Formats: sequence, structure tokens, C-alpha cells
Amino acid sequence: MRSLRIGPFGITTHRRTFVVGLVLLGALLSLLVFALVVGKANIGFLDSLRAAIGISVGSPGDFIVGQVRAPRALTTILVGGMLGVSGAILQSLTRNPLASPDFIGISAGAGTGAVLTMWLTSGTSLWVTAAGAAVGGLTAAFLMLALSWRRGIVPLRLILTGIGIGFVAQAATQYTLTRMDVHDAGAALAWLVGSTTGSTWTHVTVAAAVLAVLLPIILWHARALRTMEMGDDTAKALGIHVSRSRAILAVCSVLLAAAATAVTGPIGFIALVAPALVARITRGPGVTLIPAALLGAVLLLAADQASQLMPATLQFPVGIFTAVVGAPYLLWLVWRSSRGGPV
Amino acid sequence: MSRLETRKAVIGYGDQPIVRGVDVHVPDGKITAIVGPNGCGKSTLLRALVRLLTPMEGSVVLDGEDIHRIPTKNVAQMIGLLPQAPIAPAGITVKELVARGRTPHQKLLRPWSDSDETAVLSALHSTNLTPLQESVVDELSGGQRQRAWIAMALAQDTPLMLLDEPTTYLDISHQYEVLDLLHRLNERQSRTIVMVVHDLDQAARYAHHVIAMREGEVAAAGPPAEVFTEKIVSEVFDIDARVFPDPVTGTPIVVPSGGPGHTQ
Repeated sequence: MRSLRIGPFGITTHRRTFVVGLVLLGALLSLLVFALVVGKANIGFLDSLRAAIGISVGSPGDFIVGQVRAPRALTTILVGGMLGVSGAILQSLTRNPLASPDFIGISAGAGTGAVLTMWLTSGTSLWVTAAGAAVGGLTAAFLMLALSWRRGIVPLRLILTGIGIGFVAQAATQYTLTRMDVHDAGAALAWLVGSTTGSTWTHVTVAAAVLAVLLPIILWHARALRTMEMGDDTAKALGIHVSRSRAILAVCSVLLAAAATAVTGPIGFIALVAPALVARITRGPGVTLIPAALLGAVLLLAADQASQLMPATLQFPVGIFTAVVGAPYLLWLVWRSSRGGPV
Repeated sequence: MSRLETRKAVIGYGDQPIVRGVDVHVPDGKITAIVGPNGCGKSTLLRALVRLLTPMEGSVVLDGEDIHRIPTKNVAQMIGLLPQAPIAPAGITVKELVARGRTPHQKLLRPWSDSDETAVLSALHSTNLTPLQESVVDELSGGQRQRAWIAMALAQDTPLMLLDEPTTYLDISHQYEVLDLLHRLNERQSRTIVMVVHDLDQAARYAHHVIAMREGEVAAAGPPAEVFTEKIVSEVFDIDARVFPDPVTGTPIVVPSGGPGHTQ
């Protein structure tokens, strides 16, 4: 086993996975600098960076970088990371690359929860909306389990049930929209497209707080997750509390996806693509959560920057951009499975 | 002496009992073979012995204590398992797979120690997999793959090893390769081994203790020479059989009487 020791702590990792992680971290930091510096207003390289860390450079840099670019970039990074981890957990638990929260109705359920909350509270607090999204996401996940349970879980049945629940949740969301007053409905619709435009420090705080709570729990169970990939019997024989770890990890995955949805609206395909792509690049065995988070963040930030660089008439929200890029990947997965390859 | 035993254990799935109140003793430092017809509860019993199933009544006892009262990680340091259908994660190498056997010995912030490395290298050595340690498990032959899984259970470094049909799906040469390996592990490292096997002659050759099961009950238990008699074999397997001494080892071999078309 290639292992790495940092001070008193040891991190057992695949060397290639570690290198991939470093490269992704480098890419993420470069993209972050790009996102802070490049924009319609020309603030200047150093002034942008100063403004981003709170050193005043005067108007308009303080506002444009400190209140617009920085929170937007950080929100994008955090949401991308949350989606990457959420997808990695679900794909590992079900041993199926099609299991991602946006695909199996969890994001849609979170969307319904969030829109219902916006309707009931007129969208006053992002924290409340996030709580609503969490309830919606968990409800969707619970229904999915309850409806697909036949003396055990078969991943394909779970996924198909999830897709069905997604459609029902979307219908519920649409119906809620018709009940809202025009102003609230407009805001909810803009949110439902999946966008990082208008992200504030509140968005950053909500996303960071959720990650700060869930990520340690998830990493605590990362070894259980990897061990469960060898089958429940092997994992139990190796001393893993399989049912408990699986339940905790599944709930964390759902909550991450729900919180991400609450913050930016539903953004598709990142949770589907990032973990699968990481597995392909690292060629390592088993799930790798941190690289999946980094790649999710890189993909979403790159997509967000790319959509901002489009000419104004062609600019569209990042949620649509990821769908345009991610849908071909899904089709490729289906195409490959139809040719007898592993799904 | 036996560290692992069942006490009037009724074991099953859901509310369907499959094993009906058995008292089984696993003799320490010996190879025990569990034999019996399909559906007799051999694998069910094995799964209960390694606490994958909880008895509906009675108990499984490890070192005098109910196995389900012992923290699962502690049990994992005493009993290793080779399941019937383990899943190798895509792209995992032999050494990485074997390293996962160290899971119950690892602590959260200090995952990999020198004793872990030593155990893995020694497991690779015992199974003759050292030259193949960087190979991808999916690409190995059936016999090599089975050895890799046994190496993983070995790295777990447990005094007791339980194996569910370790020779099924292997050709005859790989079957004996695996059995010889188990024999060596028992002889040289005095590990207690329990295996579910189908081949009675192999059970007779390799096991010191045989548990013959029929319809969820223990029909006979003891040394192969006492269990593999014509009377017991015909009762357990519903087959008229003759028993001869194996010309190579002297252990019993079971030969169906009646000839083609008339075995039942």
C-alpha cells in the first residue's frame, strides 16, 4: 500500500489519486483567481485579489469583487464540491454510476421542499429554504426506499423509482408555482433554473456551514464506504457496522444535495459526472471523496465562468450550461451499456 | 477446546428457520469441514458463526460470550471470513485488496502502520502472490483470485478463519491448490479453519473434524473416519454409497453404488 505520512497522521492513499487531487486543487485555485480577476469591470489583478480578502481598494472594486465575484465564486466552489461528494457516495453505495441525486429525484424533491418553503415564507431566509430543501430531499429519498424495497434493494429498481419520484416532485413544484403570487413565483422560477448569479455571503455561509458539519461525518465513514464496495458480508466480517454506516452516509449524501439545491437551485450532472470522471482519471479502486469534491468544484466553477464569458445575448445560467455539457455524457453511458459494457 | 460454538442455535432468514437448534463446536487449531446436501443449512450455519446472521433462538458463543454482545470490530480481529461471492472493486490490485483485510486493526487517524505492512506482505507470501501483488484482481485467473481473497482474510490476522465454499467454481488443480494452502495455514500458523465444502473426499482428506448436516440439523459430527460411514453418508445425502480408504491418504472416499442410472 502506498501510504503517505504527514506529521503524526497517516493518510493511506493511492499515489496517483493523491497527485490527481493536487492537480485538481491547483486547477481550482487558478480558476478561483480567474473568477475573481476577470469580469466586465476591469479592477486589475492585484486590486481584485486584495478586495477578495477584504482589503479595501475603493470603489467599485470593493463592491464588485468583495460582494459579487468572491461570494459567487465561493458559492460555486462549495456547491460543486457538495454535489461531487453527494454523487460519489450514492454511486458507491449503489455500485451504479447512474445513481446521482439529480438523476434519482433527490434534487427534485429538495426543489419541491424549497419552493414550498418559499411559498409559505415568501422566501425570506436562505436558512429556512435550505431546511425546507432538506426535508424535501429526505422525503424523496425515503419514498424511493419505501417504494423500491422488496426484501432488499436492487440498485436498478431504486434508480427507476427515483426517476419516477423526480417527475412527481417536479409536478408538485410546478403546481406550487401556480399558487404563488407573481413576484414570488418569478423569484422561484429564476432559482429553479439553477444559477449562481446573485450569490451573496449568506449563500457562502449556508453552504460552508452544511459542509463543515457533514464532511467530517462523511470522512469518518469513508473507510466503511470503501469496505462496503466489497459486499455487505465482507464489510461486516471486517468489523464495519454496515447498516449504520450506510444509513448515515445516505442521509449525508441527501443533505448535501438538498443544501446545494437550496443555495443555487437544482444544478444537474455535476453529481453524476464528477465522481465517475475522478474514478476514470485516478484509476484507483473504490470511491475517492475528496478528489470527487475537488473535481465537482472545478467543473462547476469552470462552467460558471464559461457561461459568464458568453456574449450577453447567449449567457445562460450555469444549471443549463452543465445540462448541455452533461447530457452527452449520460447518453454515452447509456450507449456504452447498450453495447454490453458496465453501466 | 473450542473458542467458537453454537448453543441450541435456530438460524434463518426472516421468520423462516433453516438451521433448527444445533450445538456445534469448532475445535481450536483444527480444520473443520461442514458438509451436507444443498439447502441443509451449511452456509446459514457458517454465516451465523461469523455473526452475519443473528440466531432466532439460542446463541453463537465466542470465548464464552454471546458473539453479538462483542463489539463487531473485536470479533473482526478474531474471526476472518471468505464469503461465497465477494466483490472486488473495479481496478483494485492484489496488494490493495489484501490491505483491506487490515480494516479491523486500523484507527481513524493512523490508518497504516508497520504491523499492517508486515501482515500484508506475509499474507501475500503465504499465498504465493508476492509476484502478482501489483496485478489487477479482475484480470487474475479464478484460482489466483480466490488466493487473493484468502490473502485478504489472512491479512486480517485472525486465529479463526471461516470459508464459504472456497473451492466451488475452481477446476480440480485450483481446488487442491486452495486446500493445500488452508492445510499449510493450519499446520504452520495453527489457525483454526472452518470451511463449507461439497466434495466429501476433499473434506475427508483435509479436515480433522467434520460436521454433516441434513435438513437444518447436525446429522453427525466427528473425525472423518467416524462421519463418513456408508450408513451416515446414505442417510445424509439420500444416496447408496460405498466407502473405501483413499489409496493415497487412507482417508475415506465415498463412491456411489449402483452405477450410472441407478445411484438413488
